[in-house]
Amino acid sequence: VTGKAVKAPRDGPGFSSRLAAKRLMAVKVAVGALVFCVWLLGVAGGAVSGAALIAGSAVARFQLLPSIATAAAAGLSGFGLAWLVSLVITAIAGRWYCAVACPLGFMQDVSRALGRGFRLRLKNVNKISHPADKKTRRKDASAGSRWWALWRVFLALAGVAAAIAAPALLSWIDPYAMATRLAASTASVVWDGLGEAAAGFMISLPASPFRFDPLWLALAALPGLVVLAFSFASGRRSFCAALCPAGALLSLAGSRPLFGFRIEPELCTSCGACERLCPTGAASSSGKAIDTSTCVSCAECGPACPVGAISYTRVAGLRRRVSSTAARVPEAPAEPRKPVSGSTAPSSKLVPESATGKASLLMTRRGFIATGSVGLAAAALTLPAAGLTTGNGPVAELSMHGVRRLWAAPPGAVSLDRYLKLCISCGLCVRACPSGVLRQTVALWRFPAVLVPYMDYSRAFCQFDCVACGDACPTGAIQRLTTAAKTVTAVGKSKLDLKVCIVVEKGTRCGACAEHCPTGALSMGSILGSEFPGPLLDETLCIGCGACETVCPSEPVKALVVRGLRVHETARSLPVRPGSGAQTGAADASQGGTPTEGSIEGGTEGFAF
Amino acid sequence: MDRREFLKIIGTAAAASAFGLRGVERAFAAEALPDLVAVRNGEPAALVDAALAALGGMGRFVTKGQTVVVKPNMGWAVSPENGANTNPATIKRIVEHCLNAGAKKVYVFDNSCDSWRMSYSTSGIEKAARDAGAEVVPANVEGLYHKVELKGAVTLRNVKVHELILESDVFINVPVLKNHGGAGMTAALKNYMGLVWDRGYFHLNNLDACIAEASLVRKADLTILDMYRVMKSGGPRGNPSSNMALLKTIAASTDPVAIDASAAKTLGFEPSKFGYISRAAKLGLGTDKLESLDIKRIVL
Repeated sequence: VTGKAVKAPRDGPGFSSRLAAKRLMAVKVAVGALVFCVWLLGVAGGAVSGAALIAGSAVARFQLLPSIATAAAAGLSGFGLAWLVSLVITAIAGRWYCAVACPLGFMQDVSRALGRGFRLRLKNVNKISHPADKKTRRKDASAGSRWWALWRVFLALAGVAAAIAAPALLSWIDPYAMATRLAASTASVVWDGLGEAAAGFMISLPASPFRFDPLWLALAALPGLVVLAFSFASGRRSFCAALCPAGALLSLAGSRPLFGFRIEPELCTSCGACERLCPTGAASSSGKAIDTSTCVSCAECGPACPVGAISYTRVAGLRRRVSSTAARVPEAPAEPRKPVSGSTAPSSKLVPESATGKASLLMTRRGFIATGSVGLAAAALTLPAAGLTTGNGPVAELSMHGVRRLWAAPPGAVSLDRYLKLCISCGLCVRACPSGVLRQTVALWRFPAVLVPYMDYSRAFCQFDCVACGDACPTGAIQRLTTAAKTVTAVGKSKLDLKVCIVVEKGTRCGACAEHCPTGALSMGSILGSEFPGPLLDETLCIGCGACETVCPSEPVKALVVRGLRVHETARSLPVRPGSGAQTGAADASQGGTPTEGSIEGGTEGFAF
Repeated sequence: MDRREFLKIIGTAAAASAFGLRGVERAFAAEALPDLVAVRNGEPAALVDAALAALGGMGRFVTKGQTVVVKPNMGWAVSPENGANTNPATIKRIVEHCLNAGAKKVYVFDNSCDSWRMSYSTSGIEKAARDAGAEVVPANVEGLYHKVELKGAVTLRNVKVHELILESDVFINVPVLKNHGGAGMTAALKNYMGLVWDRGYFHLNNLDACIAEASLVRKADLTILDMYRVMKSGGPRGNPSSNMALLKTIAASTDPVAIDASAAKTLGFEPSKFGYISRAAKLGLGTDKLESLDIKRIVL
């Protein structure tokens, strides 16, 4: 607060708009917090609660670029239409998406609030002068700058092109992916660690299996952490204004919304309060204007304005006033503004649109050519880059249990090529996986996929009836499968090496592999060189769940090793025997039936022995 | 609670106290109690009721204020109709009997093979046991297991065991009878692999010997074998082609070896086919000589 401005008096024109602005901000915080919590619950507890996963995944699927990816991969239906909803809302009401739907946006707003005290102290120490002071005044990043406008066009088009051609390219830059990786890695340490500790006291928390891999955690959390640290220290959302492709796309959609935040020039004293607070540089105090396309609807400027000059109101139809031109506007007779419900704002001076910078971007020949070239450049850079995700490079192999092999993608990925193209490495599936077989590692890092999840059979195996990863995936990289389809989807094939099987090698009874095999691909039968039954593998039944490899006690090399399939296959399944229950999704009641009563030999006579 | 439910509870309580009294009676004339009881042709709860009644009631095993572990086989994330886990209705009824006998707490857990949460929930046992008033607790972290030296063991000299097995007053083993790819058959003795931490060691070091010696950890005070649905092939997890039999039978005894011997016979095999049964008998954990036992058979 500068001290120059006097707070709006109770009966003054600014009072009611200040009150309305406070209410609006409260609503925004509440809605944002609600969406954020739903998402966070899905990230933290998705492995335990199916409802939390579905709800959290719905927030994820609603995200702008993942939704475009879904539309490109699976067509314009369901969440493949969410992007359209976001863009239409933005075109009407401004970038509320950035305030309440984007987890990274919400997190930045929180970190800005947390950093406020820190920044104030810093300012006192360094004696940074008043923001109205020209030297310390930050550059107006948005309004009127053609270069920024062109940059945003580039970002937006590159983002859309990537989302359509190869969403994996967005791994590093998509705000949702960054936020989820940050939250997921944090939850993996803090929440799962807590769950592990609580389990030690026999208290059951809805946490995922605990895993700790410092390199993975660092790489997963880093981009999001940098963004948050920056917003904490600066109080800005520079990422949203300057780098975010989703934000850029929304800024295009929201360049001329019907409703937006607006400074009433009659009331404004140019004190600088809004401009100091504004996280994206949308508010210009001297120009007495807010650039709607840059504004992320944080709604903080309204309550911050001491005279109540800022309100969320109808802005379309009123021609826009832009800082760079405001000073040059000749005094014109005031036009009476059409009354807006609930607003008693007096008339404003209007600027013809042609006089503004960005608004005229497409309206001049030069602007049109510039925009077109930027668009072409975006496409020219993105589309060849899509090739980097698939085809060209070999799919990296991985060493597990001391065996180098092609790793397996989760069921629903269809093929490694498709999976690597569509996965944005957000890690939501890893959080959703109840067994912990799905993992991320730096060992698989390859541009542009940051931490593409893979099946790690060293600690856990894929649960037969589980389809959680497909329920989680927001881009369709892992397709949703029915349980019936899942139980016959082969992501890899187990290979048996009898030489290292302990039945042969140690001459002992085992059978751990056959015990765990859910499909009947492994069974125990007589084998050469052993008095005990040994494993027999029918590869046509194997779905690569990895149960046999995980539990095989042979050391150091397992007798059963699952090699990933480049293209997933449909495995054969054993015929359903009447009465075997609902062992697979395929075995429905009509195929199942009731087992014969007392069908064991002698069971009806001398029972129990 | 509707009237029927209310009456059911009253009836249960009355029956339980009646059994309890009978238990006291029987205690004075211990020779009247059979070594092993088998009940056939009933629903799980009725089977439990009849078996416990024949053994002198739960009051014989559980007294007021005691802590009890009811250890089912819930190793697999499959639904009850697959017969891969102990029948949830059986567990529920046993928990109710324990609480009616005055147990302070009844714990239910298993170190599952499939993901523990999915096994607990999909097996239906978690809900059934909770509904009955039991505490269903985790068994998925190593910190819950404590090393125990096994006297008389040759192969499994020490083993990490779930702390509740070591701390609780009463241990009731409630396995399910199944075919088993590794051990041939799983029933009472094999169910101990769900209360130790490192199963891999068992497989690596003579499975039969380890299964037999694991029972040295603590002889179950009571073993109740669920044979309502019996998986005759493709066990222990089962697969679509598993051969299932609806036996609607339960067996109960204080002798786990006798239970396993009778289980082997139920599957149509001699007990000697499964190495761990005779080994356990030699360790003095019970008898595999069924002909020496007083067996009571009940048909409902």
